[in-house]
Amino acid sequence: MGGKQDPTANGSPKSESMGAKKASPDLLNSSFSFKSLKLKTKQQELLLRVSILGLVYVLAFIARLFSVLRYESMIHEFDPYFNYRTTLYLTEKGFYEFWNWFDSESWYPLGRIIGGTLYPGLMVTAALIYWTLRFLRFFVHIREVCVLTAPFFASNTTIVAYFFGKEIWDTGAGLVAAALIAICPGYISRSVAGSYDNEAVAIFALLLTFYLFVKAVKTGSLSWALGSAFGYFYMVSAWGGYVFIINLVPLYVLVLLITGRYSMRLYVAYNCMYILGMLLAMQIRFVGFQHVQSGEHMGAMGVFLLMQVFYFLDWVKYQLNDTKLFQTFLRITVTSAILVGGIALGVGTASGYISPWTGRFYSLLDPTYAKDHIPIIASVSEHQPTAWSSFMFDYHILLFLFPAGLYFCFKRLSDATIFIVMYGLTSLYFAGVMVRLILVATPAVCLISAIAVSATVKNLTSLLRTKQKVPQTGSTKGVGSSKSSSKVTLDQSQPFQKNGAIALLVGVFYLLSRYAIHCTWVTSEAYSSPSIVLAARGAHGNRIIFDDYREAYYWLRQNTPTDAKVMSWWDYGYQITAMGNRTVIVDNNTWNNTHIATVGRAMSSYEDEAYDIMRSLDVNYVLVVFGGVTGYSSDDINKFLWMVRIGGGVYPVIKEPDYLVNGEFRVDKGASPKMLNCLMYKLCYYRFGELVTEYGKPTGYDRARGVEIGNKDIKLEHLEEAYTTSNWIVRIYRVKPPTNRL
Amino acid sequence: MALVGSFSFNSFLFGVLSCTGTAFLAICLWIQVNKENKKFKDLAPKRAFADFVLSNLVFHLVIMNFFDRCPSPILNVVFMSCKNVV
Repeated sequence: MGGKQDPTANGSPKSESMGAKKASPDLLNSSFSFKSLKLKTKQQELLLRVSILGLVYVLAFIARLFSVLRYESMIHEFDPYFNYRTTLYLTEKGFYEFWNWFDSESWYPLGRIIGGTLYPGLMVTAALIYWTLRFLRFFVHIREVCVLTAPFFASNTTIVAYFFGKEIWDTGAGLVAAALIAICPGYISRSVAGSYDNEAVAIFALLLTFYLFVKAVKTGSLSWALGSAFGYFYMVSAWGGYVFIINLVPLYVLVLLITGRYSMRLYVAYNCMYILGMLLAMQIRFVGFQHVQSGEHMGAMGVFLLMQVFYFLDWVKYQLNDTKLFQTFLRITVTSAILVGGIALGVGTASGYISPWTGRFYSLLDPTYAKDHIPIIASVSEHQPTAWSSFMFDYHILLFLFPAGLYFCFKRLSDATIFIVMYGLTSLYFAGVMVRLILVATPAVCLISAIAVSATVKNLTSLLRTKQKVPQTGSTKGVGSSKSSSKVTLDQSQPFQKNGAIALLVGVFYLLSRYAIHCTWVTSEAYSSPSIVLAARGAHGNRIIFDDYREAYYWLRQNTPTDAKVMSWWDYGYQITAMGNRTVIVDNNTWNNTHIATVGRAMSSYEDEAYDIMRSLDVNYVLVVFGGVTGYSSDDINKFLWMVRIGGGVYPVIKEPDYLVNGEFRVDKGASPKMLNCLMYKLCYYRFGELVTEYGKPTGYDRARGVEIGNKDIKLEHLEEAYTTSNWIVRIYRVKPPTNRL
Repeated sequence: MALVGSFSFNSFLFGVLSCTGTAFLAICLWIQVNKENKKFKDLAPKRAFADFVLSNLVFHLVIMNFFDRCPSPILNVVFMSCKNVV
């Protein structure tokens, strides 16, 4: 201490920090000096880490609360309403009723075996949280728990990301990974407060399973492998995307085997996870015996058998002690093993015992498959290929940090980094095929980018903290700092290294701050809308709320008989059953394509044929969504062609060209006569021809399509208008009983 | 046999998996305890045995769930066909 310059004492960072700490008591002249708080470097580091993680945890939670603050605490979108309804049922009736539930309120007249066709993880999790809170005497409503489940699990994901980053690289990378994933828009999009969907807990389960598995491979301990099996079980119970895990992990093991990294630890870890994970997964009724019967799970079994072969070979090698003999033996065994495996697979597939890949997953490998064969999968907007702008929107700087992180991973190859590289590459490929899968790629991208950021910042700061040698003249500054990957002392020919390092550090922090600003902006503008409540700006800049959906559903709930059946397009099924509490014909589960095609056919036929179909289905009410008055573009007229395609896929009497004019979809005077007189057109535009929607435009001007409609004088014979919401967004019609025969 | 109930696929699967699983867990214990394995030098044998016991507990609990578990095979077929439509 004091003015004397002692180079040896100032060399190590430990004494530097202690020197800094000693300077602080001079600020406070009280008896309680800060000397008592003098912490060693290790404790300082721990304090920093814990406080950073705590802040990140809180940040992840509150970043997702925009829609709760702007609108109200409600469930968003379509699928979450089904999850909410089932959670409600679970908390009211108990687990046994829930597990054996047959629902007659949807898919009339078929009904749906809900207990056996859903992934119960999300509902059980929310119910457990609800029961815990109740036990602690916090009497919250189940809806609040459901709305806030997703942000809570997002916070937990950041903690898992920290541990995972620590496992792959070091604690610095873990911290950066936690911070990046807390606000990454790719993850926020599906885990915002109110988005009570499977992905909310599934991403947490995914990352947990991967972390525990990597830990198991690293340590070779059976208990970590058991943990990863339980993580896998949680994932299977939560989301259908568990197929990704059961294919990625065997692929990773295969890569390790091929690159010669076979070890006993790998044997223990993979086998335990496979056997126990498979057994646990079969407890979920929806999954059933798929692990031994479906083509999508055969990769895991193949690698499992391959592992046994490797273990056997290892043991033989140890026993034999003779290289030449062993080589021959090796060749024979491997060839015969592959032959036997191939024959078994062939026989299984040919006899039909092993079912082929289902359409949903096959379209990931062949993106054109769904468009030609399964229009229902192709029609979902989330299943479209991703545009570059979506990548930029959801990842921002992580897009170019990802290749940088890959470089660092390849520099320090170990079992853990190989895993994260494989996870990143495969998930990015799938994210390119389907927009929805950007969510699955987000943890990998965040982790790898965190490695890039952490390694760069570490190199730069190590430059800053080194001793300053006597500087020499000349040379540029920029080159030095970029080449200083692992040097601790300064290069004498580049005198401005420290300045370069400072400049680059400022650059890094600027980038990260821009990332944070972008993420907040994206969350606020794009991903916080509840979809069931629409908002717009009025002429004077005031905010106008369109609450038409809930208005219509509550009208249904209060003004129709309890056994009324409502026909609508499948998008609204879940919401109608959850909020309107009425039986629907088709809903978002889309498990029966023919039933949906029947509804599609009814919507696209003339009124008489449609009436016959509706009578055969016992329909009492028809619900359509119409955006012509407000300019709302996700209405049924814009979805109409999909109804035609899906209906036409099953009933060849519906032909798509009938509704188009020169390949163009029109609703104005030039539209085809079939289009102008079909049921959907009539129901949407009934009495619309009398309405003036925009100043200066003629009556019946459709604001969503931007044209004046063709058929203004619509008369309905078999239906009558029951209710139209205040902004004409939802329209409900009653099906009249048949007229008396004379 | 009354022990495994009337669903034949259940019992077949239970048989195969319990044999495989028990064999694997025993092999695991052997690997971890064997002094000639240099990789597992720093793993105490007591810890390996504790892991073995715990895994066996979990494993057998899950296997026991296969006794008379599934609803009727007809519904099982319905599930399979539901899944293949999507």
